[in-house]
Amino acid sequence: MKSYREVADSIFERRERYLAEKKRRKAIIRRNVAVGVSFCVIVLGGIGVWKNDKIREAFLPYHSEPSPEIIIDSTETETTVSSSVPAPTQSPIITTTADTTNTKKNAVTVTTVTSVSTSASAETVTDLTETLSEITLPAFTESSDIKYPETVYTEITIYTPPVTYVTSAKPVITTITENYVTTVTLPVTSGGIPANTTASENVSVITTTTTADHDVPDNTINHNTTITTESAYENFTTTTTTRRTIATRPTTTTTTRRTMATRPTTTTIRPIWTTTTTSTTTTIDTDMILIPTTTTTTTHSPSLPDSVSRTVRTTTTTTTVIPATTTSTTTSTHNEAFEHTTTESDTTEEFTTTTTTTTTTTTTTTTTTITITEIFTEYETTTTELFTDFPGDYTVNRN
Amino acid sequence: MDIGGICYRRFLDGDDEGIVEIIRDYKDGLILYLSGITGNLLLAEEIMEDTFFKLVTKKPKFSGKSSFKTWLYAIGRNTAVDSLRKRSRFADKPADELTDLADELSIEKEYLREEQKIFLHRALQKLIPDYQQVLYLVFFENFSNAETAKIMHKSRRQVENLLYRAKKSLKSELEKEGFEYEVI
Repeated sequence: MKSYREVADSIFERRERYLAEKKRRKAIIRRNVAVGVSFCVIVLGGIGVWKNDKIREAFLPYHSEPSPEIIIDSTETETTVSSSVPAPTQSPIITTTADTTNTKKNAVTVTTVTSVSTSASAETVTDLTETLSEITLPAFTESSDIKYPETVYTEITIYTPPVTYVTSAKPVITTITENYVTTVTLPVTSGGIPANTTASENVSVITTTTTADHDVPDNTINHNTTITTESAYENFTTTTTTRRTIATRPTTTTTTRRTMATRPTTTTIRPIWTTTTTSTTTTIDTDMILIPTTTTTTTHSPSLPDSVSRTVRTTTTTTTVIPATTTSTTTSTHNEAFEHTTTESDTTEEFTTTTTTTTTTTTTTTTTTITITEIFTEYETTTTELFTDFPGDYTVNRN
Repeated sequence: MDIGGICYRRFLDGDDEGIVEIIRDYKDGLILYLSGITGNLLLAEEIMEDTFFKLVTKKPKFSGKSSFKTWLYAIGRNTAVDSLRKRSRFADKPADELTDLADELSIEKEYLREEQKIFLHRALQKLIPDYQQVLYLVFFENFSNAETAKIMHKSRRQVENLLYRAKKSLKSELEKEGFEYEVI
């Protein structure tokens, strides 16, 4: 039995081990969590950068085109004039941003009408009612030169910045009409297309877009439209995937084989000739002659006591006669022919003739007659004295 | 708060000697009580160490609603029940158990001291575990029925019934051995 001090030491030692193990586990968990969180942060950051097109523009050759944004800026001028003399009109600041892809003569009309109040004195009027307007053009679809479908989306968004008028002047109506026709050649890089498809790689997608400016006011600085080929590329990729799916459609061939070996066969064997059997059996009548020859002759006086001498003669003769010989001869002859009939038409009939000769072994049994004769010898005892003493008159018959 | 509670408070405040004093004061009684549950003195000793190990590592809160001894014995009983449940698959008795007898005698002599109590304690071992526990707690450790009920996780009424049946059983056991008693 441990003393209390030993028990306490043992417990403290266990506690140290327990705390060390706990500390080690905590460190492992902390390290794993830190690694996991770092990995997640990196992945999320990467996804964010990729979504912002920073890396994608750097890696994909189709994005080497100029920025798709169209920015139309005008110089901003502040002029103060007296109320009597109308000041020259300040051109509105127009910023246009358009993402255009594969547009085929799509006319875009932007009309900005700004009303400005007029006052007698020079003052600054800021119109905040139309700070931003957005026009979204409908998307349309066209087919490219290659046969599989390609969907191209066009979206043009034009923003109108806040317009600041410094003077009281008649508003200027500005009308911008642009037609976009741009030519873009897209090399198709289709990977993973199966060999048995009809498509060939490096098929080009040609989209033509031309830009023509019409009736653009002089005071408008127009930056040409940029084509964004991203949508075309993405849609081409989608199309390629579709073709690949069709080309790799699996062909299912079901072959059913009938094997002759497994075809069930029914065979009927019918004997043509029956067996001819010659059998000779010789049997001697087996009725046994049993002579109960037990003869017992006992002559004595029934009243005599046991001590009186008497003569008992017993003769027993037993004669049993068993048949002397039993002969059995069996001769069998089999002459058989069998006809084989099958249900199949292509199976030939087969005949077999079998001859079998069977000879039964002859058995000879010899029966011996046994005669048992038992003769009891005769004996005689004189019982004169007893007779003398015995009262009464008795006659003893002796045989 | 009793002495055990004060020692435990000292231990919680960082003084390891507090738990040493608790071990010194309660070790033997706890072993004898646990042996009634386990039926094995070595196992009881091991569970006693586990009980104090729980105190040292988990540092459970002692609220002082009962005596420290009651609280400690309740922890010991829970530990024993858990341990027996874990060990239930290993039913074979260890070879070391052969030395139980000498150890048990020594701990009985050290803790119980009186010959009559030792004799009674040995008679208790022939009873079923619940009878052993209730008789040991009431008559050897001088716990009240309420404290005994708290340790054994039973109601007071249940403990009273258990005590009554345990006394009858002990009486029958002592009569078999020819023990003359006055009052149990």
